[in-house]
Amino acid sequence: MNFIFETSQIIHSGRASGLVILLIIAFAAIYFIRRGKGGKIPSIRRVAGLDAIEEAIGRATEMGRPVFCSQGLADIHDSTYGPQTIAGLSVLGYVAQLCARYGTRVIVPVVSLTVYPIAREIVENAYRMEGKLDQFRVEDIPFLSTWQFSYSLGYMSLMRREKAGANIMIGAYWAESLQLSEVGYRVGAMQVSGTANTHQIPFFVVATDYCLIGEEIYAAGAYLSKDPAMIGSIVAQDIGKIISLILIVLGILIGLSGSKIIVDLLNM
Amino acid sequence: MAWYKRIEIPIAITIICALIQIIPYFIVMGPAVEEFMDNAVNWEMLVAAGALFVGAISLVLVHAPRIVKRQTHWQYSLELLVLMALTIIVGLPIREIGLGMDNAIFTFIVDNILTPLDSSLYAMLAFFITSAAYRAFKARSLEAALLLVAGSILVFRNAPLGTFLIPGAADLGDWLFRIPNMAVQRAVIIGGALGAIVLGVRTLSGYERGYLRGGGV
Repeated sequence: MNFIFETSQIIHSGRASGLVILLIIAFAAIYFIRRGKGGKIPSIRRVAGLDAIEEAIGRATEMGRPVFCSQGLADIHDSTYGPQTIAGLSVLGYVAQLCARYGTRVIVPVVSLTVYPIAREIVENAYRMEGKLDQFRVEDIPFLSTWQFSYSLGYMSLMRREKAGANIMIGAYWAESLQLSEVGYRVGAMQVSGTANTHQIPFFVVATDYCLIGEEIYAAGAYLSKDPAMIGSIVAQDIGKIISLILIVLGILIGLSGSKIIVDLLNM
Repeated sequence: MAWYKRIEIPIAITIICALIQIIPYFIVMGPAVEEFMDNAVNWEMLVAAGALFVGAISLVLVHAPRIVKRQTHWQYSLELLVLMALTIIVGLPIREIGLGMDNAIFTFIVDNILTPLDSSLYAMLAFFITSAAYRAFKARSLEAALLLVAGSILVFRNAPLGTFLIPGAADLGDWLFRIPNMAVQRAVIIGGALGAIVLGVRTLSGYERGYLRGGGV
């Protein structure tokens, strides 16, 4: 207990266990990134939703319709939901590059003013990398509104007007998730969705063709990049899951005996 | 390539800004560092406020050519730009000449246009839920059949007539909601949190560049 007392002088009360777990996962990620760079690529399961993105873009190309790609409502600087936006932007880079390659329009409806310049830069750079900068249309990255339902209405109208061929929505979504996916279904778009907002996952599951659930969206950038180092980092998520499972099982077993040691440790 | 265009610069800024937030969250570093951290958050808000101009300019760039070229539905673009200009002007914080957010025109726009439109759109969700449920509640596979059964029990649990007709639906619905649903939600939340941590590590180590021009150089 001396250790706990001493660390409380250096570490904020109640945050020591979080720091330890964070450090374990961070070091595991760095270790597996280095392993991946060294050529030891772990085999990871196929994620149907991510594999379907290329299919959706191909289908939209064949139909001569545009691809919609959005990153949700969260600002990139939002500490809770921002990571989902970053994950969505990683997918946007991949989608924009494929669209530029195939000569398909990519429309990126934006809700956040801080995300707007980043999204625009990503799409413009994708066209540049494919040597088709002349085909980049700045009006295809419309800033719609910061109001949730104004954005949703604008997005739905755009999908109807432009007859979306594919609709890829990866990020933090709220009540607009079902509106967007239902309109996407009605205009005949192939839809790939993904969010870590647990209350919206059921809507995406029932209304879109493929849905990435929770952690899958964070792995999307690594998965799509095919970069060995990035893929290696995904293993660290599994290390974290193993730690969580051990803590849950120990917590149940020790809790049944009347002790609260695991709870106390996590509150440390 | 000019030094200021190198991709290492935004990565370095990301790392520094992230560490400014992460380290004082865990480690006690004294009031001076905490004050600096608070200031950093204020800078962030300033940058976000500056981005408002980017949004306004973007709207003009998209809609002005549409009006000039008389493209389809150009009238809506005109309406949007006129209303945007009007709202900006009457909402300017110059109280000496009667402008600001408590200005009568501004409050009229918010109370009688924006708020009712917002509520109406939210109310439309009920219809979207019905049509999505109609498509989802088809027992085409084992998973879909389970969804159909669980969904039906919850519909009976929430509808007064449902609990009247099937009294057990309330208890069963509560159990479904509190036990299997909660267990899965927690699993997704834990998985999501771990994914976000690893994404953060990749970003801090400079490997995750999706947010930087799509990973290009």
